[in-house]
Amino acid sequence: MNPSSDKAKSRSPWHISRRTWLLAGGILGSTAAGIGLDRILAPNHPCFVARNQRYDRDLVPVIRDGLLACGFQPERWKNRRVLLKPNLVEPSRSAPHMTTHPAVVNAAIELFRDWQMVVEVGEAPGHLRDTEFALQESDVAHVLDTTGVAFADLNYQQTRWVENRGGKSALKGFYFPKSVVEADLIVSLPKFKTHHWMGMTLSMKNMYGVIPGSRYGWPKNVLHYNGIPETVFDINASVPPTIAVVDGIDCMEGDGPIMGTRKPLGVLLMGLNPMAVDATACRIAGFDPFRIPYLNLAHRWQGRLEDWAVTQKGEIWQSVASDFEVLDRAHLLGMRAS
Amino acid sequence: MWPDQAFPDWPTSLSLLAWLASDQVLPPTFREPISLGTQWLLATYSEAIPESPEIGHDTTLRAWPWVKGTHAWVEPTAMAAMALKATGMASHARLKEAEQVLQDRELPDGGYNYGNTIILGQVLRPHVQPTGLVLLSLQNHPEFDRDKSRAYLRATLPAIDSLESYAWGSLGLIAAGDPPEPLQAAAERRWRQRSRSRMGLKQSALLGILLRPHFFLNLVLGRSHEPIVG
Repeated sequence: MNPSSDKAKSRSPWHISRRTWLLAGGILGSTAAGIGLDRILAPNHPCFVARNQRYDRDLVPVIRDGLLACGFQPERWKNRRVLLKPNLVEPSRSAPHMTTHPAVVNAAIELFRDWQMVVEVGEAPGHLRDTEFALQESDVAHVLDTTGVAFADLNYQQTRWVENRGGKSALKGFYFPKSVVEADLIVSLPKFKTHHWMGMTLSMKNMYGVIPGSRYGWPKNVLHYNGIPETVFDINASVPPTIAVVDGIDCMEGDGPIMGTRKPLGVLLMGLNPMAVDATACRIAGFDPFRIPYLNLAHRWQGRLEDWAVTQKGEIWQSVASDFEVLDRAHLLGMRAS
Repeated sequence: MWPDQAFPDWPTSLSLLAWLASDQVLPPTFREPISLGTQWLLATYSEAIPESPEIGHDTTLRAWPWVKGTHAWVEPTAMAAMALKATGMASHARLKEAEQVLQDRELPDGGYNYGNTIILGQVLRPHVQPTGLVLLSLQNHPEFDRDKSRAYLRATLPAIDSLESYAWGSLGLIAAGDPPEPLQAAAERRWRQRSRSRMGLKQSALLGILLRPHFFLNLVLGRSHEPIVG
């Protein structure tokens, strides 16, 4: 037994050498500096939360104020093409809380027309081949008829091949409908609701609805086979610039995105970075955005999920927070904020 | 995994029906594409996936997908079944597989949707268009208990304003021996009410079928011609 071993034995088990102190201090210091630098360098995306909203009130001023507060510059988009993309996945008159309310679509049409943009509404319902039926069941047909706005049936429209700029899935590219490719700006208009596989579906998952069923099926099973988080990431990386206006007035909780129950919340959320808006919505609903698979995958690539990385405009999200029910399944319970 | 420029090929079934219809009323010109299309249809299979307690249908059965390399869904399977019958292959083993899948995907209270029945313990919602399509594709099937799906269509169809869903629902009811009345007046009303900016060739074709539904039903049954591909 050598002397150094004896010396070591005589020390307290909690003894820490000078070298260890120096090493630990270096690690802590550099980590702290890294976090500070990270916060300084990270883009900060605002999310505007408007509370006490109702479908029978004028929603145009709310959306206008919210987007302006988030930094939207309408003069930059004058005479440019905007595609409004509501969620009409499988509308049913018996479940109006499943799909984007026509009042929200109507307000968005009016607002972007006021801003002198060329407005079109487009959707590729994921579970229905009859798009006219989807428009009628959701009552969005009435809005299209009264406003005379153009509508693009994205399930059947002519498509164009676009390279997959995300690269998370095995798909080399996407067939996007002409209206998507030619849009200067897309406004994702999702319904605020739970999703029985992904936890929540909001503005990023809503972009599944730009994918044409005529090429990907009903449901869009090609995307499922290539991974839902990966394809949500890739689609969002490959479409034109997208902003978000979330219909959270009447939401869906429980067995969303189709069979869940109505959850009145009375909020509209909006922002120029869909990920910041979705992260805020998750926090409102009692979910940890880091545990939503597609948000986690997109973290640092398409935005930031940390609370500090989202500047709250309008109301703070805590003022409208209300836990959404989820199915009693481990994969969903594990997504809740604990 | 998917050849990026090749998919999808599901409209082959509809093309077969169109070619067969043309060859019935005009000098036959589509024998070769009909033969090739039928061979393609017989060689195309959906992907089975492992059974799961969270999924209500039998995921191990294979039929037809929308896109090669994916699962079997109701509408491409119903379309393929119609096309096979129309080509005179009513006794082919692939048709039996299709009929098995379609019966398995019926919702517990009748009706069909795109093809999921129960997910995570929740029964899903039926829709008129796929229900009509399935009743049409399973017309004359002796073991198919169509009463619940027929009752669903009968109850739901009058409130449907979309011509496309109304057309497929009506064809399904006619195939089930329970035609809605007055069919043509109702279809024409929906045609007049349509939004011209949103409805085009597809709706026009369906209106045409509704005005002569029995030609289409006989076509789907493979009547009036011999098998083209043995």
